[in-house]
Amino acid sequence: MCDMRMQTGKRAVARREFYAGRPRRRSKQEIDPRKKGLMIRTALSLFFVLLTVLMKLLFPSGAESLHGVLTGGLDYKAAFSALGRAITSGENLVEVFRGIALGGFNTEIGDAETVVPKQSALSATPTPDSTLTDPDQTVEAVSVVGENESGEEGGAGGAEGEYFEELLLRLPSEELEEVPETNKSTPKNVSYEYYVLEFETTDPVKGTITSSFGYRKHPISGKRSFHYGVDIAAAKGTNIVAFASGTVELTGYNATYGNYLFIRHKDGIQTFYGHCSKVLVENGQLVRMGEVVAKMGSTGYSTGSHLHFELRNGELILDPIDFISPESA
Amino acid sequence: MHLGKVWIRPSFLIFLGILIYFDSDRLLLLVFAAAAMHEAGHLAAIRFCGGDVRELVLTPFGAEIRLSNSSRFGYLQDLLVFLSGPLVNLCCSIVCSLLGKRWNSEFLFLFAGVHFVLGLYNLLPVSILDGGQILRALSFLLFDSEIFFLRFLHYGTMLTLFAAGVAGQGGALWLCVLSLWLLLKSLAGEGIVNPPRMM
Repeated sequence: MCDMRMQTGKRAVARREFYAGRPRRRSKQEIDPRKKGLMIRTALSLFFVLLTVLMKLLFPSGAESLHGVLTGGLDYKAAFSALGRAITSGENLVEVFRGIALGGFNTEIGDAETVVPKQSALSATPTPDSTLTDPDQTVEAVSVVGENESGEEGGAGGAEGEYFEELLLRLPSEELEEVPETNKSTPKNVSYEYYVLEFETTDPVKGTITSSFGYRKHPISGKRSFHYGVDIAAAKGTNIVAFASGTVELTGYNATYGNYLFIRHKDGIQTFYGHCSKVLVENGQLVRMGEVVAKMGSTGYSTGSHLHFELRNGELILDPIDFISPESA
Repeated sequence: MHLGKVWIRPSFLIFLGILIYFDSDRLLLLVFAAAAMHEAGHLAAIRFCGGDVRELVLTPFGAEIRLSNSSRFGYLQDLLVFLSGPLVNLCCSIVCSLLGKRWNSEFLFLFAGVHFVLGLYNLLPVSILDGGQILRALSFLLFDSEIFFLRFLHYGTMLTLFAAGVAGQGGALWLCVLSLWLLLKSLAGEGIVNPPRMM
């Protein structure tokens, strides 16, 4: 009895639901066809959004290569950052705009960076070369001039990396000041002295030198400032190889240098590679001389595909041209 | 698709999908945040002037705020409403840039740049953008009519954008698309922010 009642109860509920549903269905048929069309379009568009999100998740590389074609390699993120920085830093906004616009016109102009992080931040890093197995590639280096102690301390933890990162970010706005034409003296952390590197080295990339070490007129701001490296221009995506064997010390991204990496070589010698489209190695990774470490690009504050190559010895920044010949075939 | 007073057009969703797919730098969220603050500026000014928002329509390239017919706006109120959006963007860009400098935050610099570009874009003297409407309201306030110079600015701006898009390589092509879209939109006689005028 009890069961029977339950069943009828259920049926009644089902019947009620059935009939309750009917009028609603009838009202749906009365919907204005224009509204119905809009609903269908909305549903299709929602589906399209889901599809693109899915595509993005499944094939991220496809999106990026297409994106590159559409934007002509112009890094909008860096451009926006440069603008945001310029708003209050007293830089000429028109110059920054022109620099960004030039990115679309001219791909042969050099870079825009004028500053380098202070070497002191790098002092707390390991000397990983001792762990390299091939003795031929890690011959003792002798610096003819200057002392170098920076390479002797160990322990590059995340904190040091962050500290360095912070310095790298802070410095550009501080040192962008114009150097008057009358000032011929080199910045105090720069050395034009010739060093003998007693380990094998190679050109990080082959290409045209678009801006060399020393004072120059800034391609974007037009101000006279010191350029701490050599700019070598080649096609976007060109392989950038390690100048010598060593350990990747820091990789990252900032608005000035874009994707960059540091490699620490023997005896505190370090090389810096900036504006890469892609960095292919990770922090702490051992690399051999000539090993591909990055792809050339125009990320950061830059107006065309090129490599910003710097060479340092401890506190000092050296002219890399003594050690490379990227223009020879 | 209606969500309260917000009406999302299907074309907006299509546009959103395309943007999501090409947004390799994760810039989209920042741009949307800046755009939301821009619209919030408009809405605050409308509220201040005693207007009543009927609905907010999301279309590709912008949001339209539609006011109910009870809102009676003069050209002075118009001016305030149209100025408020870009003003919010420009103020935000300065604040973000200053804070970015203080805290060495690359993110804040980026946000400042996005705000700045969005603010400037909306100040273009094209009839359907805030800039054009500001000039229009000013023209009515000062000369009691829309001076011809505004039409000149309107088409001149679009022509300049198009020319810049053609002259630039690859990356600048979107300027052509933008100018064509602005032209189509203005020819269709719709407004990005278009409170009905009662005077």
